[in-house]
Amino acid sequence: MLVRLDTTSPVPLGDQIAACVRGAIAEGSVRPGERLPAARALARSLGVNVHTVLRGYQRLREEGLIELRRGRGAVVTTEDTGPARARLLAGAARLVSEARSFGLGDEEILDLVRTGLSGG
Amino acid sequence: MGVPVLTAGRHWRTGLVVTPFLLSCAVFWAVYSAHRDCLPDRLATHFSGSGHADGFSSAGSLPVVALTLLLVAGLLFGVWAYAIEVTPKGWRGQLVFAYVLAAFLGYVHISVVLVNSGHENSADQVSLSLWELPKALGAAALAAALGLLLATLVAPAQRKAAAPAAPGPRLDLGRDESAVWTRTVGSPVLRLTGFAETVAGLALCAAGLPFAGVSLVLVGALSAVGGSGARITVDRHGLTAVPAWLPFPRLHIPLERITSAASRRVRLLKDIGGWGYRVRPGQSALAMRSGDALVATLSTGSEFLITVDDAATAARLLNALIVRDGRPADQGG
Repeated sequence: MLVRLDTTSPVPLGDQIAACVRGAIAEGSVRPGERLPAARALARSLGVNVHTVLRGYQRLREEGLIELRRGRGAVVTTEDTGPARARLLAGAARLVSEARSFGLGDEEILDLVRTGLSGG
Repeated sequence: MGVPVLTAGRHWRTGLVVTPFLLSCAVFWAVYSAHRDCLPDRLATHFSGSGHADGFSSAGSLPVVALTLLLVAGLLFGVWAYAIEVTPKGWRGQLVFAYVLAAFLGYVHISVVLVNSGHENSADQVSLSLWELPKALGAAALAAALGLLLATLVAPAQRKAAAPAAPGPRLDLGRDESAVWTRTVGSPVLRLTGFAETVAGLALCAAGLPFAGVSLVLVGALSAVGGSGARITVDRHGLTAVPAWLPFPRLHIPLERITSAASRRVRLLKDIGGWGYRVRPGQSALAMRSGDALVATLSTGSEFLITVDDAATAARLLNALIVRDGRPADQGG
């Protein structure tokens, strides 16, 4: 799992961490049931605050990709759909960032998705 | 005589290091054989501060103890000399240490034979002069001088400098970017062995052999913990490996000690020689399984190898971090 942070990027650092971990789950370099590195250790490696890493982990938990347990740390969910779900979320994130770089606002992006849904 | 006359490969070095122990054994045996008939059945083997005997053991056990001690020490020195590449300074220390230890152990045991000799009927009157201690130290000093002379005459053959490792490609890492690569690797073989040992140990405990059983359970648990996985991390601090479920033992190589990194495929038994942490001349390795391995070339010229999936990415990140550290990982390209 490769985690890269660009401090000049407008994307919050926590989200950058979440994106890297999500990518690793999607491509299978982190397997279901595997423990992620401790937030403190990852923060030390990257030279960021431990809360930044925890924000990233929290986001992955909200997406249902990992479980956060006291004493066990962050563990990738053991559900079979985990990697597929991660790929889907990564795709959605890509769609959003591409649309934004195109100059679209939130409503316009939603319209785009709605058009896609009605078309399917 | 600053210039060494000969150079010795590791076979010769092993021979030179083991020789004083064999010599000591031979001299001890010669002295013991010559005095065997003049020795009491019960030898005085321990002496009080005043020099009078206050500890005794049977005449038969002295040669066993003396020869075992010398041979085991010689074996340990031999393994040390054979297995580990030494610097010229380390070689001098190794040789002098071996000669001093062999001479001291030999002298002490021979002097026990000599003071007991002539007391066939009883060892109660045997006494050891306090002068024996400075004499033993004198013998050791003489041996040290001999070792030093040998070390000056015979230099260790230096391993041919390894060709500069072809530096792998590196990650495109910006000035404002920080990056970490981390991955866990486990060993099914170590896990299975650990489990089998634990079960066998418990069976031994149940069979009424608690000591052997508990030892086996401990060894098994250790293999199981080692085999259950290690987390390998590459970051701005360097290369780190820790067991997945414990914070120690922690193996860390600082970034400044790494000159380049690459990935390659290894076969466990053929290329490394087995599982676990292995040290060989010019290479140390943390090996859990065959396959992809990360190889870091260190500033000492030796390499550190660790078996882990996706080692190519780790190597590319390491090379990028080295370059950003201000050192060129790949000269000229």
